[in-house]
Amino acid sequence: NTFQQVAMCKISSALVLLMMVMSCMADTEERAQIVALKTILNNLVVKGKDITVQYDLYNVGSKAARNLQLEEEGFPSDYFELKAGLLRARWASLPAGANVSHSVVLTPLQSVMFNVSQATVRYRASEDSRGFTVGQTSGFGEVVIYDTAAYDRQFSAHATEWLTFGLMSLPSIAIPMALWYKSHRKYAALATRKLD
Amino acid sequence: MATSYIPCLFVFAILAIGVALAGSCEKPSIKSSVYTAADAHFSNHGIVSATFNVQCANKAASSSMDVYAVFRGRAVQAAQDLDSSQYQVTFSEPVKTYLPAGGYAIDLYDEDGYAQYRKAQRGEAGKSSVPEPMARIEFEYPRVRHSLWVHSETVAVLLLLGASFYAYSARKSILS
Repeated sequence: NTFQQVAMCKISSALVLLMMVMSCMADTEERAQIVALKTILNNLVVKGKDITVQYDLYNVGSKAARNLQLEEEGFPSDYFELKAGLLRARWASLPAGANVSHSVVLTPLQSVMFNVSQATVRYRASEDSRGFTVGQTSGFGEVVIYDTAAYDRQFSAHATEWLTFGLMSLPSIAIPMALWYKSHRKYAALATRKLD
Repeated sequence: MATSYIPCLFVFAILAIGVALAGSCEKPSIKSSVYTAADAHFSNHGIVSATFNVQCANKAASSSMDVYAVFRGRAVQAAQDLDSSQYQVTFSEPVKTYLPAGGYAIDLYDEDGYAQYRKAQRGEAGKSSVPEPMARIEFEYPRVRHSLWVHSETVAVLLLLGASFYAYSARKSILS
């Protein structure tokens, strides 16, 4: 789907950029480097229906990242309800070259145009580094949270609408048929009586 | 003078043993809840998300240990909440061919157990069987809800064509 294609494009361009930057720099220091991607796994975001937000964290550095923390502040509780998952999570370490994936299930509470922005990632780049390296995941951009009515108008099966239509058009078919059947029976009876 | 060191050494030895023992969890007990999503119409991923707490008999171990979750051959390090000691792990796959409905189990391992599990996976000598997990979370995965296979408009059009054909053939037989 297009969200995932855009996300794959973003992650591959982010990785390519990172590799270019790192090859330009004289890599004297061995450290961890985390690249984080945030995607929404659903095609559509509809009010009242669960969406899954997935965070992929890749360690593209040469050392393990310690005390890796992911903090998501971009889903306030009056706009989204947390169904499952942790918005603030941490992992003790992420080895070099490894990746970890984290998912959160949310239910949108309002139908608005919502800007899904970046989450914060912080980690210790090496065992003897003093402070945290702070970075951000990729943002996702503006998403339209559809109203239930708009979603149903386009995507639902409309079975009740068709049933109502069928019932409403039934009189215009049933009444002529009943009239014909009445006269048909009368003339059929006459025809058989004539033969006798 | 030498005798005054002995209590210090004794205390230090006790502490050292205590620190070493705190690494492993004794008698772990798990409180877990699992969220599953299996809707092929609205989303394209099936989700299994387990949130759990680990309580160890030795309190020191429970808050800082690494927990690894294994589900259907995939091993994932569990994320821990920043504010509490809750763990969470999620498995997601494209939903169309993900899981048939039924009972499933997620195996949880601590660090040592996970190292043994990896050795068993690699098939190292002497480790042929998968080790016992520290705990097991069991849950039911629901049946996948699909959208309608055929649209209601198609059904309506087919019914209409059928009715028209019936009317036409009836008219023909009447007129003949």
